[in-house]
Amino acid sequence: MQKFFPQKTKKISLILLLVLGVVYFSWTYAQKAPTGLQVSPVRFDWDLNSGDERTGSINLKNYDDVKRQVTINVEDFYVTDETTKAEFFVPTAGHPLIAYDVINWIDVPKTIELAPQEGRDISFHVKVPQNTPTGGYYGAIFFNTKISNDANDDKSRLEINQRIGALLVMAVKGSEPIQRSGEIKNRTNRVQNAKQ
Amino acid sequence: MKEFFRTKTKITKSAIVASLLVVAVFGVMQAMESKSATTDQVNLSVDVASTIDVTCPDPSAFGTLTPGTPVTTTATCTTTTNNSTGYILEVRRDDADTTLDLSTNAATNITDKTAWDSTANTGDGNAATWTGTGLGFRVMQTGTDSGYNATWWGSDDTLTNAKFAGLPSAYDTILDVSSSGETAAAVGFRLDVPAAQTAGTYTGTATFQVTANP
Repeated sequence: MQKFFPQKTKKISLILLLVLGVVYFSWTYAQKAPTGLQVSPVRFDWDLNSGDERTGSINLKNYDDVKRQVTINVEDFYVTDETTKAEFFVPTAGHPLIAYDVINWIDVPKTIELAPQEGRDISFHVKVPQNTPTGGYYGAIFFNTKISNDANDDKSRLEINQRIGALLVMAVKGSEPIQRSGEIKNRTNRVQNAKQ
Repeated sequence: MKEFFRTKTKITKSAIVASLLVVAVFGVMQAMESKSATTDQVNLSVDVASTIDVTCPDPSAFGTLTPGTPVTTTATCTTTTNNSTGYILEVRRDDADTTLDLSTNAATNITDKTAWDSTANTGDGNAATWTGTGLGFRVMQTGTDSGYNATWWGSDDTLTNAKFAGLPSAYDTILDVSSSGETAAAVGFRLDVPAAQTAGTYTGTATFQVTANP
């Protein structure tokens, strides 16, 4: 057996195996490594009183190896009874939900630039106006960027921008009491084993 | 004198042995004490923040288009979230009138297919199988990991079954993923123009929007 596999061949095989292992694990890691822009957290649930002020923080992370210009804007949203989907909007003067507009409550930077692989906490400040009626007020902070670099190849093309939203759900207590309501869509019975 | 030293050495040895014994006993007690300390319960808690990570690169260029011979390209958005209810992917065109404009004259457009409306036909959407010319898009079954809606986009990707719509001017849902994890969404674009279309390079932008399912 020894003559079929001389010591030198064994060594070479071992080195080759190690190299292949390193290449495989590097490739696997590269496949799993995150890319793009990450927003965290994606939702805030705050209980506030009329006239309150509060500061929050959203972590924004650029996972790519190029710098990203990120523009930030705020919109209102509502959730319909029929679906659980958030509908985003910027209300005009006659909008039926203008009374629930929170865009002017939220102060956040308009643009930021993230260096390659940079993560940064973006602070935002919420000021609930005095005498705001009790109710649910919903806003979203959007982070807009473009992932691909501009191409200058004189070809017909469609370019893609992307934006990620963080939801801000505010239950505001004014002079009226807060009334919470909900509907149970389904129920599962859970048996809990407890030591007596 | 010798005897004195021998006795003294014996005493010193005994003292060393006794000291070592005391140190050993003390050490064992210390070890027992520290072991009992390690069995004390320590409560650790941590809140993992919810995250969404999105990357939507540009699709490749349409290339040279010959009227009557459609061209296609695909953009793949990859989203990773730990939000247990998943996420919503929406899209809109960024130009007010049409998606693609002639680079040298924005007033010269390529017509969009009928704008996507997810609420049309009582929620079945208004996408339709491909006919004629224009720019249309659809979520592709192949390349979309989760949330593919066959009612909206067709039973499969074959041209006879695939449904296309135009990019809407306001954000509208194209994919609803109801669980956490990493998912890819492949969005295909199909373009054809009439013979009278002005020759030149046409460009435009669309925006993909990702938000957590509330």
